[in-house]
Amino acid sequence: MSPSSPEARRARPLLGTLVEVRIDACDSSHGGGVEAALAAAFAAVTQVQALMSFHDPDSELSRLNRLGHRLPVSLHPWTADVLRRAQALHRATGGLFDPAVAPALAALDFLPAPLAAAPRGGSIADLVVGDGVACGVRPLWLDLGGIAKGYAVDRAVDALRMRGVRAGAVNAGGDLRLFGATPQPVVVRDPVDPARHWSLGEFRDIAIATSAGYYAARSTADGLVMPIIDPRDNRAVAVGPSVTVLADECATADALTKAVMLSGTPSPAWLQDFGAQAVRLEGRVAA
Amino acid sequence: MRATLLALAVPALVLTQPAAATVYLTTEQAQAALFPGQALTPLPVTLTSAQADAIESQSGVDVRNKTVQAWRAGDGGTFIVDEVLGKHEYITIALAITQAGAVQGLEILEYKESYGHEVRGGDWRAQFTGKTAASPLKLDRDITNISGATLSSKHVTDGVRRLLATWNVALKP
Repeated sequence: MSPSSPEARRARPLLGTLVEVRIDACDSSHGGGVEAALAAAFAAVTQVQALMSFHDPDSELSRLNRLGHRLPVSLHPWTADVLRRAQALHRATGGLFDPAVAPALAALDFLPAPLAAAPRGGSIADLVVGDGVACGVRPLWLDLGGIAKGYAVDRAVDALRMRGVRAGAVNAGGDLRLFGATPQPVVVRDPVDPARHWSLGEFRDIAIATSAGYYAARSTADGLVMPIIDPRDNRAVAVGPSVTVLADECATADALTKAVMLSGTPSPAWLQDFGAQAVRLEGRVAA
Repeated sequence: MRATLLALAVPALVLTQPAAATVYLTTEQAQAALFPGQALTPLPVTLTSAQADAIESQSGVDVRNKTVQAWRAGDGGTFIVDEVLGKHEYITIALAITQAGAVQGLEILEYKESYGHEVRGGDWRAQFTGKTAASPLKLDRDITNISGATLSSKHVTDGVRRLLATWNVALKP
């Protein structure tokens, strides 16, 4: 089955973007077949959105942001898993990846501001995550937008595999994961002209995520900036090169694009801890 | 896994067709998926200016096209096919609305990128001359795996709000 003639390819607006699920090969012995597998994949993404959306005041994350500093908030295993992964990524990147930058994102209108006054300071290290429960040692606004999209891709891939899908892809607005025996070509958008693509090569069983300024840039007093906040000074990153990270899991790749961008070096040492690799695109060919 | 990553070469420029469209479902396939087993009857509607104004005030979204492609299902549900125009994208959506006016389902039928306003001049293209990829992808092959910054689905969400207002103003059974 070649990638250009999939068994099924479907897209839905989820996670604030378009999520595409593609099935290239599916075992017919599984009940329900392709349609049931597609439904399960989109259900997994929908569940991650319902649990971890900053925009939705009814999500578990919003509840944690409102109440977490006053009482322990019970969490779905997936939410607790993402928070623990976020803490591990925060530690490993020396604090460069930090979901606690939501107040700065809200101040720039990248996120809707909740009714309560924004907390000052604090990091995801100020959160205590237990078994299905979490509480903060201080008020925090956490935004999981920088990791939950990738996590949703991973859970969708799990759902497809559990229903007999042997090869396919899930792409949440540019953060993607491929699986199956046949290598598939992957391209990255040019950060200056996103209609143009750069070839990364052919891959199988890999997650690839990219951060860049097209689509999301916003004009501020500091110039054109991206919805990526440097936790060291709470400023948004200026639009420039794109960063693509390749890793085993999409949650890891998604989170690390932000940390690599803030690190100021194309290949920080901690990438190896995750078996990950980064590609920086300037958007033009060097002379 | 590690071996795969170590084999990564410097990315190479590929000339892909920027305006390639992805078709996910045909109108008929979406009808069957959203109203399984039901016969759908065309319900052609052209909005009056007053109706378009009412839809705009109810949804807060501009009405660009007064022709509505709608169908009625046997159970009183409504099926609408509509186009959504974003900054960089052109998306055809199919919305299923229950007899009571709730969203029953939404499918993306077609996605097309449009960067018409960003077409570069010859100077910009010239820098790529003679610097093509060491192993370029075939141009006739579909580029299906594109990594990039996230495209907002705001225009789709706005389109759904506009179509729900359209149902309320002009399509209620």
